[in-house]
Amino acid sequence: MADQANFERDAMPYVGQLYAAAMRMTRNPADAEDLVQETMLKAYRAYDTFTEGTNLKAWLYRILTNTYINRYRKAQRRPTETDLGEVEDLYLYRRLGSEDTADVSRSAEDQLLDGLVESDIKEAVEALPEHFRLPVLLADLEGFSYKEIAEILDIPIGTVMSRLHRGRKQLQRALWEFASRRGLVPEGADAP
Amino acid sequence: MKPACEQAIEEIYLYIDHELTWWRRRRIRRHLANCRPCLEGYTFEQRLRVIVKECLSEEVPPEFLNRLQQAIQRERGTVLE
Repeated sequence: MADQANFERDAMPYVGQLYAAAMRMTRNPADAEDLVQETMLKAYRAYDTFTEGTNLKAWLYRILTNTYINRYRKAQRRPTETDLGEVEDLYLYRRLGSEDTADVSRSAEDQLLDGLVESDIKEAVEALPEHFRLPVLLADLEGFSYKEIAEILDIPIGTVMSRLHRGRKQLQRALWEFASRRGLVPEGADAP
Repeated sequence: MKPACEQAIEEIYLYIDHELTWWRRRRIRRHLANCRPCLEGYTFEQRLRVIVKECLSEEVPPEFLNRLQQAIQRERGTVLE
């Protein structure tokens, strides 16, 4: 069992990461701060139930996502799920190529990847429906394994995989739209 | 697309996520070593992943860190009483 006296030493190093995830969940700094504070206080109170030497980061994220789901989600606007029937794998990359050749020039790649700004990426992630956004954040921001994400969100691992897959596709489609608006896509690249 | 490419692309996210068994990882690695278009697609996904991660990080406001620390200390005080 973990000792409450060590809580700050053990858990405070994760606050930066928790805050970044909370920002993308709640979409504003005030709510993100509230969410992280509530998470940390709950974690502190329950710290003597945490088994030392097990996955503290995943434990904290489980409290974070549960707190978010129970408390903040209800008030949120709900982004809608795009119909992803036609969105293929490597969506962005393939859009960069022309219809007839699969060749994508390095310069077209650079133009797109260097041209997207931080706010595009943040907005694209925030626009994901929540059941996609949480797995994408946990995997792509935090680097959790599928198994860890399944435990944090309390869903089967197969569900994690399909939501991640579809979430990333929808993210790429949103990024393509930002890129098109910014003129970052090669001439003749087809619109989605 | 060749069947080998189709199979590799299908598993490319699992590969990037380090979620494949060693023998499937080896199969993809071999395919990527021999197939330029797939390798380029893979490299693009990797670059995108790094950029997304970088862009999503946040600076924690120092005032918030202070407030949080105070809140935990208050909690500790109430617990000790």
